[in-house]
Amino acid sequence: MASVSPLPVEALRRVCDASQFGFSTTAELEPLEDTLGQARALEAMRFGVGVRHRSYNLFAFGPPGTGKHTTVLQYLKRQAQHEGVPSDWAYVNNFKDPHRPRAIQLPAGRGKKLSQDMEKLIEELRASIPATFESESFRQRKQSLSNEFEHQQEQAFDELREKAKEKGIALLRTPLGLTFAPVRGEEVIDPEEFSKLGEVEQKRIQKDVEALQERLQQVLQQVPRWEREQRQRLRDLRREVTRFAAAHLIEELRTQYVDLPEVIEYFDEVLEDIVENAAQFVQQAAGPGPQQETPPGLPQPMPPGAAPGPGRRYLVNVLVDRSAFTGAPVVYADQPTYADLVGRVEHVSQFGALVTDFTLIKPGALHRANGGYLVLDAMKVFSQPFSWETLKRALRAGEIRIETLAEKMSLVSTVSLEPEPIPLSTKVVLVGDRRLYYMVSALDPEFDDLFKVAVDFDDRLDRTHTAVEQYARLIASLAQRENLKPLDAGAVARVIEESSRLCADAHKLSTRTSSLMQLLRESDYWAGEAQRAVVTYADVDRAIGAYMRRGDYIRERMQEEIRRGTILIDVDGLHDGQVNGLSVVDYGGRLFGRPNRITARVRFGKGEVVDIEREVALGGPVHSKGVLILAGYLGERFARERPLAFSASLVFEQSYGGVDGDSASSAELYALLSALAELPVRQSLAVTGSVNQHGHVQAIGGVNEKIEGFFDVCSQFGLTGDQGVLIPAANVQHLMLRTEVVRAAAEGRFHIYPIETIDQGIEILTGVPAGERNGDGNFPEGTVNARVEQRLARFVDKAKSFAAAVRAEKLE
Amino acid sequence: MSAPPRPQLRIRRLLLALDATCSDENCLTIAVELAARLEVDLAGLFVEDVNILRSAALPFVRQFSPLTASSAPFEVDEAERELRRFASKLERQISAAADQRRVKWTFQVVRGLAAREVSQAALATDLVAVAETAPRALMGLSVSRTVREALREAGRTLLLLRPGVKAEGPIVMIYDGSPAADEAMDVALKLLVGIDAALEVFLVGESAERAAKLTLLLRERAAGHGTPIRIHRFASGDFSLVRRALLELNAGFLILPTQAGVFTARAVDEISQGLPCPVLFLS
Repeated sequence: MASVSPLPVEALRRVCDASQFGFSTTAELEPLEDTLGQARALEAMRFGVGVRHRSYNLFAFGPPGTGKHTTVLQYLKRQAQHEGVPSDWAYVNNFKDPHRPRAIQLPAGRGKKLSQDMEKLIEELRASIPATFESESFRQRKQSLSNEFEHQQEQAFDELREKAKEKGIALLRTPLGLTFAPVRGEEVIDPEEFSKLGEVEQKRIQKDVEALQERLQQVLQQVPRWEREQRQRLRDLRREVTRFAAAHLIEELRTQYVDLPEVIEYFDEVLEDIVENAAQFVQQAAGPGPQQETPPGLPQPMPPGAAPGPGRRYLVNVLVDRSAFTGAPVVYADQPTYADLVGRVEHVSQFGALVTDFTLIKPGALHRANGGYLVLDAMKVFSQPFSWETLKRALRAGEIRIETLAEKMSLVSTVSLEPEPIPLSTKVVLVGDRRLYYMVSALDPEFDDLFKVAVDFDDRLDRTHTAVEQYARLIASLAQRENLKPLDAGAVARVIEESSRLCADAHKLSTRTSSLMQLLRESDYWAGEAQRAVVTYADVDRAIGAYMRRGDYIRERMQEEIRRGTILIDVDGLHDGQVNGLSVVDYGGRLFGRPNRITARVRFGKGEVVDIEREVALGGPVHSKGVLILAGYLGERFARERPLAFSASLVFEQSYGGVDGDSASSAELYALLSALAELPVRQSLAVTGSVNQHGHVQAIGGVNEKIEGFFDVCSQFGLTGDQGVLIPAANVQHLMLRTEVVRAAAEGRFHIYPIETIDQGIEILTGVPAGERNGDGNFPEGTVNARVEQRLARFVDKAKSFAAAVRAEKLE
Repeated sequence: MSAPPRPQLRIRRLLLALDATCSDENCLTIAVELAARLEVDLAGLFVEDVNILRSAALPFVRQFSPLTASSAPFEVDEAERELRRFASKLERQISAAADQRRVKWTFQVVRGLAAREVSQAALATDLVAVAETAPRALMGLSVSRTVREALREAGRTLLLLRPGVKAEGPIVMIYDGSPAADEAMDVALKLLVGIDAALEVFLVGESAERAAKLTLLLRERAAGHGTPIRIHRFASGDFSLVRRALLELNAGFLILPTQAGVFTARAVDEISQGLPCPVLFLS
C-alpha cells in the first residue's frame, strides 16, 4: 500500500487571487441588481407570481441570512411596477342596517375624492339645512300649520263654549281636566241654589250638561288625531324643504360619479337619509341640549375631537387609498397580529362607554395589499394567535372579513359592527426557514392547497470565475447601499475567501448576505479606525479576527484547560489504544474544534464493542451507529470464519456532555486496532472521519474547525513538525483553513493527511504497515492487521480452552 | 341736551297670581328671577276657584281628562284635595326657587273667584305676574286672561308668563318717550345689571327727526350702565313687522308700555301673542 503524503499547501486553502480583478476599488464596479445564486428561487418566484390563481401563494424558505426578504420584496416590487393600480376601498354607512357598514369599491384615487366630496357636502348641509329651517318662508309655513291646528282646536272648544254659554253653562278648567257647570253671570250656580230650581229646569240643565259633556268627549278624542295629522304635515314639510336643500347638492355629486353605479346608489340612499334625519343638522345649529337625540339608526355620537358630529353618518371611511400608487401594492407586514392582518374596529370612550361606528374601521395588511402582494414572516404568522387561521380563511374564502377576536371566540355578545367583507385578490408570500416549511406542509392539510409554490433559497453557489466577478459586484452593491467605504481588490479577495469559509467549502461561495453585510460593516469600521478611505485586505482580516476574538471566550478556556493539563490531551509520544479524536463545539452559532482523547481497551470476551458513551446515555444515535459499524468492520476483516472472542470498551475521555455524530468512528477504530495490535499510536496526530464496514473513511462536517482546533492545541505546546491531522480525503475540497495553519503547513510544522481507508490511517498513526492479505489469505507478518488477527486468534484459542475447562469442570 | 327727570321706579313687590291652571314650574322660576333682578319681594297668591268647587258639588257633573278623553265623576272632596295638593306643590316650588335666588317671598291661598281675588290683591302691589295656560286652544278657559284684562283696565303693571318659555336672549322694549316707556327703560336697565345681554329698543312709527331725538335720549339714559344698547327704527306702525323682528332677535324678554306709541292695546296684545318669551306690560 502506498503511503499517504501530507496535502500540499495549496490544497489547504483556496486563495482568491486579487490580481484577477480588473478594478482598484469596488466603487468602479457596476452594482449587481439581480440576486446572486438563487436561480431556482427566482424561477419559482416567476412561476408563482405568474400563475394568477388564488391557491398559488408562495412560501419562500431557506437558511437564515440568504436575503429571502430582500430578494422577495425586490422581485415583487419590480413585478408590481408593471401591474395596474388596484381599486380603492371605502366603508360607508349602511343606512338600512348601520351595524353592517357597506364596502364600496372605487377606481384608484376616487375614494379620497369621494371622501372629500362628502365632507364638503356635509359642510354644505350643515349650513343650508339650518338656514332653510330658519328661513322666514319655512317659519311661516310651520306657523301656518301650527295656527291651522290651533285654530282647529280653538274653533272646536270655542264652539263648545259658545254652545254652552247659550245654555247658561260654562266650560271650566279643573286641576285635572275639564268640566261643565251651569253659571249665572261669572259664577257657577251654587248647589243649594240649584236644588231650589224647579225639577224641569234641573233636568234641562242636567240634560244640557250631559249633551255638552258628550260633545266635549268627542272633541277631546279628536285632538290626538289632529295632533297626529299636524305632526305628519310638519314632517312632510320638513322632508320637503330638506329635500329641496339637499337634492341639488347631491345632484352635483351624481354627475361626477355617473360611471360608478354603486356610488350613485349610495348617493340616493344618502339623500333619503338626509331627508329623514334633517334634525341632526338643525340640532347641531341650535347647539347641544338635553333634547338633542341621536338620529335613528346611527350609533351614539362621538365625543368631541373624535370626529365631526352631525353628518358624520355621511362620511366616507377610505380604507385603502391608492391615489399615490403607480403599480400594484407590495406590503410587508412586520407584525402580523390578527388585527393587523384583517383590520380592526376601533372604539372611543364616551361617558364611560365604548362606542364605535363605520368611520372607526381600520384597515389591515390584507386590505393594503389587496390587488397586489403581501409578504409575511411565516414564524410570526404561526406564532400570533389566530393569524394563521385567519390568513387561511381569507385566502380560501377570497374575502377580508373584519371581526374582533372577542367575537370570533364568542367571548362577547355585545352589539358591534360587522363590516361587509371585501373581496380579496392578493398573492401572499410567506418567508421562513426550510424546517418550518416542511413541518407545516406535513401538519396542516390546507397548507399545500393554499401555498402551492415553494421558493427554495440556497445558501451557497459554485465558486467559479464568473461567480467571483459577480460576487465582487454584489460586495460593491452592498457597500454602496450601506454607504460604506469601497473595498480594494485585496479586500474583495479576502471577503470571497471568508465567504467560502462561511459555507465550509473551498469551491462554494456563501449567499448569506446578512453575514456578508456584517463583515463589510465591520471591515468598514476597522478601515475607519485605521484612517483609510478604502477597505483593504488587512481591514477585512482584522474584522474577521476581531469577530472571532469577541466570541472566543469558551474556546480559549478549553484551550487553557488543555494547556494546564486539566483536560488530558497528548500532542506527542506514543500510546496504545489512545487516539486524539476531533469534535466541533457549537455555542450560539460560534463553531470551534477541539481534540478529545479516545481510548479503547480490549479483553477476552464475547465479541462486544461497548460504547461507554452510549451506555451512560451520553452518546447520540448517530454516534452509537458509528461504534456498531466498528464491530462489523472487525468481523468482516478479521473474523469471517471464526467468532470475535473479545470485548472492547470505547470512551471519549473527559467528555461530560453529549456526543453525537459519527465523525469520530475512524478514531475509535484506530484506537481499537491499536489496542488489539498492541501497537502504540502517535499522539502528535489527531483524527477525524467516519468509517464504513469496509474500512473506507467518509467525509465529515466541520473539517476546518477540527483541524484548527488541534492546531491551536499543538501551537500552545509548540509545533514539533511531527503534528498533524488525518482527515477524510473527501473533505479536502472543503478546506479553507486559517492562514496561520496554512503557513505552518507550508513550513513543514503541521501536516494534513487525506485518508481514504483505515489502513492508510493506521499506518500513519502507528508507523507500521497495515498489511494486505497475501495469496494464502494471511496478512504479512508484523503488519498491523496481522497483529490484530493474531491477537483475535489468541482470544479464540483462549475461548476454546476456557470452554473446555468449563466443560471438564462440569463433568467432574 | 339734558335728560328729562327720571320717574321713580315704583315696583317694590311682585304678586304672582296662580290658580289650578298654572302648572308650569318655569313660570315660577322666571317670576322669582325677575323679583331677584328687580330686588323686590315675591308674593304668591293661589286662588282656589269657588266655581270649581261648586261644579264639583253638582251631581251630574263629570270631569274630563284632556289626556285620555275619559270622564269620571267630579266630587267636592276630590276637588278640594286636588286644589290643596296643587297649591302646596306651587308653594314648594316657589320656596325652592326663591331661596336659591335669596328672594323674600310669601305664599297665600284664598278661596273665591280668581279674577276678583287677584284684582283685589293687585291693588296692594306694584307688579302682578300671571301665567297663561297651555294649550292655546284652552286659553279661553284660563283665569289669567280675565285677570289680565281686569288688571290692564285697572292700570296695573303686568308680567305675562307662558309655559315652556325661557327668559334667555336680549331684552326688547318698545320706546316712545312716554313716562311709561321711561319706566320700561328703567326696568330694562335694572334687569340687565350683571348680565351679558343687549338691550334692543324699537322705535316704531316715529319720524326720523323724533327717532334721532329719542335715540339721543336713550343713549344718555343707558350711559353709565355699561349696557350695550341697539336701536331699531320701524318707520311704519305695522305691528306684524315688529313681531317678525322680535322673533328674529329671539327676544328673551319683552317690555311693552300698555300704550306703546302708535300701537293700540289690541295691537300690543297681537304683538305679544304667542311670543316665546315673558312679556312685561307697563301701564
